[in-house]
Amino acid sequence: MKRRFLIIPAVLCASILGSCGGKTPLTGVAKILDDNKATSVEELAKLAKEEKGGFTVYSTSSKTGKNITQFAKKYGLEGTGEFKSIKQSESEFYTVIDKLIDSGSKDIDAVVTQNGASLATELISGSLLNYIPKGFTSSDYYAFMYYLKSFAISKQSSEKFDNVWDLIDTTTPVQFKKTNEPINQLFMAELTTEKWSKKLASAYETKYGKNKLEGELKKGKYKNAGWMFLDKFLSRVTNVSSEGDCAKQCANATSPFVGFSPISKYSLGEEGNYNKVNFLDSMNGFKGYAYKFYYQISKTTDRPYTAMLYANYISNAEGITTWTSEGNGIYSAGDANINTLLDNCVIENFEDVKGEWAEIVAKLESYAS
Amino acid sequence: MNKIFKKSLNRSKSFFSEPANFILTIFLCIFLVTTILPLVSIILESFTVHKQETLFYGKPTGSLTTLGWSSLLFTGNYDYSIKYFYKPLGNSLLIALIASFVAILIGGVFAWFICRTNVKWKKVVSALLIFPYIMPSWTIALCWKNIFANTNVPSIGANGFLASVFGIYAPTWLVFGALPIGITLGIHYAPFAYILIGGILKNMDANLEEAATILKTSRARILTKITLPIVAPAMLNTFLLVFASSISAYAVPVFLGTAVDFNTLTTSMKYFNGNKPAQGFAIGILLVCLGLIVMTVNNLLTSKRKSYTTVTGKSGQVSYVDLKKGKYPIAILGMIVVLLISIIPICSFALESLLSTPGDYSSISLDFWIGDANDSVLANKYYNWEGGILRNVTVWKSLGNSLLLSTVCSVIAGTCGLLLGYGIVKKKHSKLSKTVNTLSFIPYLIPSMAFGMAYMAFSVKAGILYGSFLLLAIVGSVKYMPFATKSSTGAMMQLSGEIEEAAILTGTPWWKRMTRVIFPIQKSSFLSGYLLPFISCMRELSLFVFLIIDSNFIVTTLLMYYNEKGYDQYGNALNLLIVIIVLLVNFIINKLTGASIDKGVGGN
Repeated sequence: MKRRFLIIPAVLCASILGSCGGKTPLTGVAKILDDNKATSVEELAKLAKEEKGGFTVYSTSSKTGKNITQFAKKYGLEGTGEFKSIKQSESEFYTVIDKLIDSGSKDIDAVVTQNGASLATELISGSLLNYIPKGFTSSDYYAFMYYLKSFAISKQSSEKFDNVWDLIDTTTPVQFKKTNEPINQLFMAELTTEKWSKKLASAYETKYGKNKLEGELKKGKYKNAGWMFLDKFLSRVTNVSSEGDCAKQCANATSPFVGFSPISKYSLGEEGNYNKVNFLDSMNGFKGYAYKFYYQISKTTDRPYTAMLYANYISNAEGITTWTSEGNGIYSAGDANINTLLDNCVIENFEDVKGEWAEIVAKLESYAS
Repeated sequence: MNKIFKKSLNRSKSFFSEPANFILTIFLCIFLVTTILPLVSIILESFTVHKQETLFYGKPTGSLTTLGWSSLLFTGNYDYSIKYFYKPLGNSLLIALIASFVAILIGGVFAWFICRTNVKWKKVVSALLIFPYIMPSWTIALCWKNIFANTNVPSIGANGFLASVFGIYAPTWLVFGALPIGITLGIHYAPFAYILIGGILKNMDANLEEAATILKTSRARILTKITLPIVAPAMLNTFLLVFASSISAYAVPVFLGTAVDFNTLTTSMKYFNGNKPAQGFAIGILLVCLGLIVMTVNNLLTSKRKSYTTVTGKSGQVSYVDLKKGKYPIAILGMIVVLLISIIPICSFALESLLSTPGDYSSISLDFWIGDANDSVLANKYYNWEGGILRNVTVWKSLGNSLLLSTVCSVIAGTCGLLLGYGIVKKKHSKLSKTVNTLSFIPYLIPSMAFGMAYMAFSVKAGILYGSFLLLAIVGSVKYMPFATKSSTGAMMQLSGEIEEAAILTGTPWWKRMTRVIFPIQKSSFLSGYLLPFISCMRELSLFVFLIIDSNFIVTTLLMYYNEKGYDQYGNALNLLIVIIVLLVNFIINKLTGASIDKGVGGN
């Protein structure tokens, strides 16, 4: 009788202790990714060759298709299956991906995408898995490439822009895609963080003098210089429907014109638009905005080793030539000089703004009209 | 019990022995699945928390909530509801009204002159007038911008045609905003109005007008008291269709509204689709409700009249109003208008597609038509070089897919519309007919984007068809069936019952009556019911965008990609190719059947 009274509570305690804490054991593709965190590229290539079937990457970029073909050629994987990329437009991307993965489709192995805010909610659901190639700093969302956006001014203008606050005061029209552009939302959001609001505060004081900012902030309208810049900037810019068109307008402008678009939108070559504008990349405050291209693996993939190998492939400059050959302002996250290249650039990082995201979006939405 | 059963059976037999009843019952069942279920999906989705919304609502994915609706309709913070719903609602109504007015004005005036007068150059004008409908609506908007843009207007860096050549600097409200959006959409749908109104005018018996002339009635009075009331159902149908289409327009408000922060319900819906889908679906429901209100008003107005019969069993003739000396000046004026809305955009597309450097008209080349994709010189010269479109495999695949999809949709939609029109008119006073008539039009009232989203949600949840061609064909057919139904209903309403009765008396079976009597009489209107879905599908974007897994699958998504990225030459070349292909199809149908859209309304 005594033993019974000892055994039962012991079993109960053991059960309770067993169910408390500890990670849920990984299964399926997640386990394979976790087990192979330290596997070398050569080993991954061997394992990828043993996998059979198609390898499909869904991407917001049309250049992924060419890139995949190059990848398959480099590692001799062409005979193992069809390597292709399906381009999906940004606004419907996650809706399509969700539906495919939720239905258990094997026709999606990985995604190349943008917009850290949307990706964050996707990762919560577990449809997409984050894999960090060996040698890279761990992060919640693996980014393999940066695209730089910058302000550019038409050569018709002789106005000087030494300070980002000049964009507020200038009479020159400033074009900025403030609606239906999640990347620009993240840009504006990042400016409100402590790091960038300090830089903007310093730039403000350089332009207007010390103590001027304090006076402005004391009025209570703005939390910090970042919020102030956001408000004043978005209140005075002209909206555009497409950044590609904005770049074209800037390059062909016959009057002073400032536009904000990815540098890669300015075509290279003798007659390219790149040489028809001046980039405002040395302003006091920030140089531009670097947004990320992410790579994530689908939880339903039946080629996990190929997916991991591809992540390693696109982690250096050689692996992203299909992108970098098209224009300037595109950098590999694996580039040894990446910190120099992105010096003084506002860099996309959703984690910085996640806590205030709802409030920031509510504010940004108020500039819709 | 046996007696009751036998009685019911006999009643059913008698009921279904009439082809009209049989047709209406079948379609009632079809519409319950294809129309009501997607509507139910949209309603459910508007009350569901989606993944992207968890950060905003603080509720788990999949849970039910009214936050989507309350946020959309009742949020005063930063004037959110005003900016994202009430103001866009007002803007959407405004552009839809302007577009309807412009479409009916242009289409109606041309239809009257071509069908009822002896104006010159009818065939040419009639053929050219359908061009604006063939082009995707946003390409007309781009053309408008290219003509009126100038550096005095926000977001424009270089002058457009009028400013460069004539020094005319249009005000901002003429370049961007409600008026240019409404006018552009009106021009886009004017051919539609022309087809519907002209189809009625062409078959109208002149005896009515001649009787009034004999009684020395003035021309103006004849127009207002006889002609206009007769074409009233066509005008009301046109208004309904143009209004519903315009209020659902997305691309034109983006291109001609963004720079001045002119937002419509569809641009709000597009924004919400990425961030807050529940609110996007809520807007979709409200757009459907708007369309239902317009349709109810239309039904009330047309049901007041007992009959719109203009084609009877008695012989009739068409006599034309003699314009005397005015026939050439009026023809010249008409030609100028048609050139402005039809030829100039086409020429603009052609010219822009031949420019090596956008805006530099001295740099003509065929690179974007026949350039080699692997040519390293061209790859260095042009940004994002993909080869000329005639040598681009992606373009050919997209074109092939679009043609196949449009053909399948037009055959299904046209045939079903024809049968529906017959059934609805034959039993027009019955509840079944009224119910099916209302249901048949609902797909058109649902904004294309919302309709596509609903089918996507429905097909994924049911685990069938998602990503398949069949789903696209079903959605396209259901969406454009109202075109064919309205066209067919209008035609059947003109047809007097005595024509078919004469055939019944001779013991002619139903299918023979349809193919040998009814269809040939109103062939022009019936065939437009096949052609309209084909043309609409060829240039449809929003409907398929959520159902297509690969955004290069059809030609319009490819075209939008080129336009969004600023690849002007590709976009213009592809646009021109779409127009050429549709015209070619029209030409082939004309040769094979003797009918075409333009011939049906006075191109002879």
